[in-house]
Amino acid sequence: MKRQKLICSLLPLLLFVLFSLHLLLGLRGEYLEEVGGMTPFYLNTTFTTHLLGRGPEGWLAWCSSALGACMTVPILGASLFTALLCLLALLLKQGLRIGWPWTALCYLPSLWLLADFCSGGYELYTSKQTDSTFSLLFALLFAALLWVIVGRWVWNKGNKKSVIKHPMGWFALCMTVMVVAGGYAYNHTFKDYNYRSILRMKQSVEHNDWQSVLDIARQQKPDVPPTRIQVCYTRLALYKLGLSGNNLFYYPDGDSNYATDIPNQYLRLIAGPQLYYHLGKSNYAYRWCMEDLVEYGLRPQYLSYMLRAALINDEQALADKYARQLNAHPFYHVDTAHAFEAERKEIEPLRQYNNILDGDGGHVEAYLLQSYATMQGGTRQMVTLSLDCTLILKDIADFWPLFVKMLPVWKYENADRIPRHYQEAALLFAYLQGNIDLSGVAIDSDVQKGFEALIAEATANSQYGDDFNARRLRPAYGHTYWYYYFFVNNLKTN
Amino acid sequence: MKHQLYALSLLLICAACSTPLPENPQVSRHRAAVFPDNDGATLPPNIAPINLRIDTEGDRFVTHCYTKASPDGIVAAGRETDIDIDDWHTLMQEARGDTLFTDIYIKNDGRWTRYATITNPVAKEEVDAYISYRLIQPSYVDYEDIYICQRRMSDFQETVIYDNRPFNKDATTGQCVNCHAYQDYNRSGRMQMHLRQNMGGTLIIDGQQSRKVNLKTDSTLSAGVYPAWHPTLPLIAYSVNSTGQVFHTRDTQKVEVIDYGSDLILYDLHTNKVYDIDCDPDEYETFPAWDPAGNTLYFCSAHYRQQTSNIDNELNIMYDSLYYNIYCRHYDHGSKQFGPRQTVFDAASLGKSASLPRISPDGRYLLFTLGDYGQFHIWHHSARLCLMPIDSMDSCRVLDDEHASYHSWSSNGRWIMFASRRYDGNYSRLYFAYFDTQGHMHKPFMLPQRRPSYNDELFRSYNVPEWMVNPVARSKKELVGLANTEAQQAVYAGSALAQPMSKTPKRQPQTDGVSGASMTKTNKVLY
Repeated sequence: MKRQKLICSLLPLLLFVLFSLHLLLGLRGEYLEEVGGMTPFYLNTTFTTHLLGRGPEGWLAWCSSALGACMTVPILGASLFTALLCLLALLLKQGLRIGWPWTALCYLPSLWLLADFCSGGYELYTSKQTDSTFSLLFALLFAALLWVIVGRWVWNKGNKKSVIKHPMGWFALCMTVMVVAGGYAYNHTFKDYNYRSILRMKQSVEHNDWQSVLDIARQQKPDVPPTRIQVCYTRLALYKLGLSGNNLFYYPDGDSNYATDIPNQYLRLIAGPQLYYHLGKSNYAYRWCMEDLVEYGLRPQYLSYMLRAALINDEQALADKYARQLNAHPFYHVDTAHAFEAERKEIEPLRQYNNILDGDGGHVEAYLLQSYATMQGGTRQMVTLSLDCTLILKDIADFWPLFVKMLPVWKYENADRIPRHYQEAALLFAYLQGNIDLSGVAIDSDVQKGFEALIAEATANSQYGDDFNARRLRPAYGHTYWYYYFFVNNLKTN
Repeated sequence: MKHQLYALSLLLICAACSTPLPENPQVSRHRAAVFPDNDGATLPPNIAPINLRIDTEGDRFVTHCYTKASPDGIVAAGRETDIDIDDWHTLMQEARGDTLFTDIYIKNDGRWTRYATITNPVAKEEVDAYISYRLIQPSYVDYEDIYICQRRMSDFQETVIYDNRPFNKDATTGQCVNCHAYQDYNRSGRMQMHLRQNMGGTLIIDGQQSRKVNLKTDSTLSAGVYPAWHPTLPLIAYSVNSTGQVFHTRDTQKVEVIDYGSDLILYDLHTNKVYDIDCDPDEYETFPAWDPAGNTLYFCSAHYRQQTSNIDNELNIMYDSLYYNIYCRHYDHGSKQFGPRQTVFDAASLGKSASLPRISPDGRYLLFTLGDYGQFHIWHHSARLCLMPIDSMDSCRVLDDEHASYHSWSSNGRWIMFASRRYDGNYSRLYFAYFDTQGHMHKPFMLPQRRPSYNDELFRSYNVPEWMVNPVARSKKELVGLANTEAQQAVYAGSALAQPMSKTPKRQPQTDGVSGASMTKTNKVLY
């Protein structure tokens, strides 16, 4: 009987731990890391006194921020969170003096909290409090602990043991309830495919792992069009790897809605600082981090990009301020003397533009595309990016001067081999404009043949609508600039 | 006898616990790195303890503050000092008109080193008992919790005069609060501050009376913006501005705050009437300031004639060739009218731009900031504090070769307080400089804090610092209650000029005041 009791007490615990870790690490691992980056927690006096000065609520906020910060290392965060949820269940069992057959019922509040946390998604970026679940958890833990202590004091005497009829029956029933609750938690978990991809890409960008971004983009489910964030990250990775001229239109394009009912500029909120920073617009990276910091708090992710922007702008004293704050975070460490040196070297060539006054209205993608497409000259990296942007915007007028500027570069660096998409664009634009001579331009014969075949097919099927032609031409031309030019339209950003 | 024994025991315990000075230290000619670096700054005798943080590496730290009269002084242990306020004031009273010395001892590898002594002259003249400022994150468009605080100068007590949190229930009901200003250093109990957006209006406290006013009329460009209380009369001069912000793509100044139109108005508290002062369509008048007698109104103005129908676009390109001069108009108390405009300082002729004129309480000096262009010098790295004797208007000199923006004279004219981003380039901190009778500004010191690291860890700027002789008597609750009332509409009553200029319709704001920074949440078609 004793062994049976022990097993029946441990079985729900074991099940809960496995289920919780599966949910947290298996399904929400990326989200955990994101929560860590979005939770302000600093071990310095000003931050601590500010929180604790709020009284008991401040203590809860401090504990929940600490747990949130631990999510920066998902395995640590998940383990701690699971342990605390188990502790809550055990305290409830003790406090409410629940017999062993009903042990499984003690895990219901924990399952509910787990479900609540795992249901989190885009609201992480628009909520001023990222750790409300954790606050509730700590509030319950403190209350349960108090209950247990008081209970031991008050009810210790006169404790009568009652005989339980059909204990295994009760146990089975409670386990069933627990499993059903687990099913609810699983169903409640935010499992949006695109969101997960966005976070995976974002974390790869954070580590400058551009190949991984492309791998994620390549694995995109064919029936799920990507969001603009994924498209932007993919293009950024292509640019970083020097592959945009050949592969810019190879990866899935789309403007899927973000899986949330709360309208907002998610591209800016989630990816804005990274895109701006890596594409040489450090002032805008800084600006939006500052705006969001005001709105949502001193999140480490914002500080991290403010630090990078300050470093690349040679604002050393400001960078030191952000570094000091980040170094007060248990899981961030920055040495401003050497931080981000490699990425700064890569970005610097993109920053050789003249200062002007303008504004982006929060439309990150549109602003970047417009500003680069209309840029006249610059470093080789800037011209390449500008050329890509003219293709994306289908901006024929701005394409030609950039294309001509790049011809000698390709000749010198690339043995006269012009990247494929630029060849495709040159052929198309020359055809559409009618008065462009491409005889001196090294167009590959397969590109030339492909274009001629496309024109022939398009002429033959001109009586059919765009939808028909798009479907028909997709297998052969889906990865060409021509297809993009004619059939990828009306995409919306943000 | 028993009590005396207890007291003696207590004293002995305290003595045992007090920090002894390290014996036989090595002596270094170098200065220890300390924050804030106030070495050489002249201090007021009634200032709060100048705590410091030692940034030179070491295992143990001792700081010794002393004077010639009191060589034992105060000894504090630790990397950051937290000097007892009473002990400090005793020491500072001894140092009044003399010098305060600070020695830093650092122990490394078991050996103490005493670094070069930090010396601070101590002035005879005190600073005003209080200052007030706005604490705000230096953002561009967004704002959240904004506090207007007052701080006692003799210690670290900071109290909130007003905070906007009760009005920030959601994204659509935010409230901005700004431009707190007092008449005559708050001796008269008259103050004002603006609220924008949710429950917007101008709060005016007039002794025991208070009201909320809407200063925007159909005939003026905007509600009152930069205020200037008349030193004695119930009058406030305001600029009215159509302001926008545009962002630098590359420049680390990051944002440009541009007035696309601005005028001056006068508000009479007793009649609730608004008068035009300056409303020339080719002049961009702003930053009014009265002289201490209230006989002259100083202000800045830039001359620019609109070339096209879109002034926003024009000035977004021409922003760095907009130069503000300082002008004045005599005010006649009898007729309650202003005389003709007179040039005080022609910054444009130097290819520079002046803003925030402030006349010293003795009426002898004009203090202002001089930058390369524009008027919102808080963002301009080129902005410097400048001084010009009123009786010799051709001799302007730069007081301090570091970034400065908003400044203010103490009521005795011996101290200048100013906000500056010189420490880290982005977060304004307050600095105080002694201004001697010869017209020289001494090295400034940073507003002392109980913990010096607070200046590092605070992610807010000190904004619009003002001196006060008396604290604000109204409670935060009273002001929030007043903010919750409906604003009384001010009435436009024509020109306050002796020779009124023709009233040309001026450009009304085309945007929400934030050019190029719309926060539209709608999607944008890419291609």
